[in-house]
Amino acid sequence: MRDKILELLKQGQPEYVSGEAICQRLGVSRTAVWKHIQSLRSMGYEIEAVTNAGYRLIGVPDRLYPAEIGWGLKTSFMGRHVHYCERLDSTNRLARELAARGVPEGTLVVAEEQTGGRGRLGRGWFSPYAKGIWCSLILRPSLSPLDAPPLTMLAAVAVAEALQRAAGLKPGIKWPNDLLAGGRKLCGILTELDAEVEKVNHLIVGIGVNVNIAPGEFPPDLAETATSVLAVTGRRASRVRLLQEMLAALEYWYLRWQKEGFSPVLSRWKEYSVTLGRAVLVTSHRESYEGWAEDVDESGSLILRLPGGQRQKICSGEVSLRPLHDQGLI
Amino acid sequence: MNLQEIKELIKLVDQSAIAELSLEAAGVKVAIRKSASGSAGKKADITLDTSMDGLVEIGEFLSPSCLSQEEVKELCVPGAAKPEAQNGTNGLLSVRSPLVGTFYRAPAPDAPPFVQVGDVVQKGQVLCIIEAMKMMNEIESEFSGRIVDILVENGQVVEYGQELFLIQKM
Repeated sequence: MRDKILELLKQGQPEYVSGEAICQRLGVSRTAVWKHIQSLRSMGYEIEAVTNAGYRLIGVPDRLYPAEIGWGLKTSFMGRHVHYCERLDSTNRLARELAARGVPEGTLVVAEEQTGGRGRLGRGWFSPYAKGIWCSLILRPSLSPLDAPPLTMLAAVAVAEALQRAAGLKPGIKWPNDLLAGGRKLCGILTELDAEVEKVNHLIVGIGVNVNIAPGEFPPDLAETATSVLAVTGRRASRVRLLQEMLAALEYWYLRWQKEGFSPVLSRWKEYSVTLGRAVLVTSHRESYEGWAEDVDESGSLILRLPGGQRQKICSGEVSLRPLHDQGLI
Repeated sequence: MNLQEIKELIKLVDQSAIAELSLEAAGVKVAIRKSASGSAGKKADITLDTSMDGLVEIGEFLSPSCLSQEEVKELCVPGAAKPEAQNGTNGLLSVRSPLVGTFYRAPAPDAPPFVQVGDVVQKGQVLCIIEAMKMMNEIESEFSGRIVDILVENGQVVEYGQELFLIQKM
């Protein structure tokens, strides 16, 4: 009911909506309407109330409320079910639980703050309150687990497009799926796969985008390596708008991937790539390779040309881009 | 068709002059073929086909009469013949990788491993992580048992279908 009243106020903007009209449309008493208006105000909505005119919405809080995400969302299933939390240990953790309970495909878990945000291999992810998009999506593609990993690159493409549309910022993608601006990390994506041998049960795509974090707000260990939309553009971006664009782009590429395979996604990925055609260092748990990032194959693996001329296929590992002045060394 | 009936069927073929028998009933197709070379049919190929799972190759076995009830049961339950949980050489079961990627024994570099050799694991317990392109796949045990061997090193790249663990089923 509260969200329906909010919707009426949004439709009525910038005019007043009379209390009487709300009562009639929704079949509730004036007292009930007043209570819901109070509840919306406590959520941060600025609502003007004028005798004989009615209610008018004049300010929307900077929150990723489900009603805000849904307002103007252009998707059919991506982000159509939203689990919103102000504070959460990890959106991926809750998403896993929800996935096991069988929530629909495209269900979104979003938090204003993560107290235990996770990165790859147990690393943390800095997720301050209302300054980024900390979210996880639950997907259930009908695929063999063998074909699932390129989804991580697809997610990077979708977030890159969304950043261009909603914030006017064209990021670079470092293989496989880190989004960079000026060589610093803007967005990280951590995907978790739950599968049997022949089929994927579900995938959790965890996405963290640093949006309105001021440059001085990063903790010291991230100060040199992380950045945000605000730090790059000098402007605060609408997190709701950015998230809506992310969901739309994710749905678009996800459906194309299922219909046409990875090839169109890979072409788009290459347009954003800052890895290919450069000297890189790839470090993994056991070994490291230095070489020329020559290509990405149809499975999403990075093809490295080693100094000796032989080619090495890389399916996981951390890529460091060598400074451009070192490029002649290999 | 139940397990007892299949067992009866195998015995029947074994003791008869029939070299090959195919039978289809209630969505289950059974094909039993005695090896031509074996003296008095000491070998038989048994193939179990269900409409749901496609062909499940059971393999070559010695005379069916030497199979225990338990072994016949294992052969005939379609789920028991999944690539990740095949009968090893010594009655051990192996856990195989469902994708190409990097094998991790622990959730983080400084964390203790999920399992050690000798550990008793429960069905559904996480054994390791396989990572490909920052997609993390927690591999769970398909059965309860004791870890007899860990066949790959931490951080090693594994291929699709590669054996990761040997487990003595309990």
